[in-house]
Amino acid sequence: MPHQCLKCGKVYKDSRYVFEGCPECGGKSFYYTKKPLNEEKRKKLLEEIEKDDMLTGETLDDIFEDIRKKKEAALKEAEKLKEKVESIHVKEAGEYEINVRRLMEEGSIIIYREGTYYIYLPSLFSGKK
Amino acid sequence: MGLFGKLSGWLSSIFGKKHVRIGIYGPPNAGKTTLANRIAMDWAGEIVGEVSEIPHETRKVQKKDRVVIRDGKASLTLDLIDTPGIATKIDYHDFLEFGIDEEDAKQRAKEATEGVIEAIKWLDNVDGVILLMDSTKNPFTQVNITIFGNLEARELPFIIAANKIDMNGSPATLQSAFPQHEVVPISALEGINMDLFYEAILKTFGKKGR
Ligand SMILES: [Zn+2]
Repeated sequence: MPHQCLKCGKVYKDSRYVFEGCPECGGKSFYYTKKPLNEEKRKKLLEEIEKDDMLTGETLDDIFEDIRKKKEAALKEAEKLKEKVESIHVKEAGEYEINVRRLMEEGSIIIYREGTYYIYLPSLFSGKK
Repeated sequence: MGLFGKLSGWLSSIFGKKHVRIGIYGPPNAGKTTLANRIAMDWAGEIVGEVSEIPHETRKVQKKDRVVIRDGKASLTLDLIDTPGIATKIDYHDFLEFGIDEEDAKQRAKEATEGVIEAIKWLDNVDGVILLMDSTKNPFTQVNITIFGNLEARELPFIIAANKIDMNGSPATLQSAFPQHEVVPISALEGINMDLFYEAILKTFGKKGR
């Protein structure tokens, strides 16, 4: 199936351009489709992609710089999460914050809900670790 | 353990492990179920689960046993585990925009949260992991980094698969994000690069096991 460049709309049969970028306009976003999209739809898709925490940048160097920044931000946030004791925080019915690191590293599960901690210790139930 | 179990245990200790349980892990909407279905369709002729655009569609672990992958002389039997997406935040408001009513959305959020716990508990029961990332998105999320670090700490063999290369080509940036690890760019939906992917599976999981 052909790839359509979302920026200029040109359609390519060869998927190498998905890796190299569009030779017409340099666009890096492609849509895989039998039916080429009109300009309006392409614009909408492009906007969605951009707001969706995509990697951004005109050149590969820009993108690597973006990656570096995002990595720093993520590591910083991970440090902050270490201070929280609960693995799950129920903010209200239907809203949950999940401390993935705690869940992965610890056997016990601590749920915080309406001012109370609920602690599940599997060792108490299974009789072994 | 029955006689067959003992025998196959003994054989695998000599010839290396040929039957492994592999979990597909990753953030919501990375395409885990699509990939599980692709693998199961390619090698067993049937699908594992339903796919949808709504995040957290898979809220329970789904299994497909005995999927045999072959490449020339080598073969490997997989028990595939498709897990719910791992997220740091689950908010029922996000489901409302898909036309789900409030009560159902809250129930869905609760099940998705339980799904995260279940997925993580299953890590104790797998021999290896396919860590599936969305190649069109920022690789440095809490979820990706945490899973990556935890898999290394557990010394579980794993492959990073960069999915959705049919949508946007940045598997190269994903590779640069995890330079020490092999990243296989694929499109589970369109079946692109699946031969490379199966090669990586045979290589990575072919020797390890319970
Ligand atoms: Zn173009």
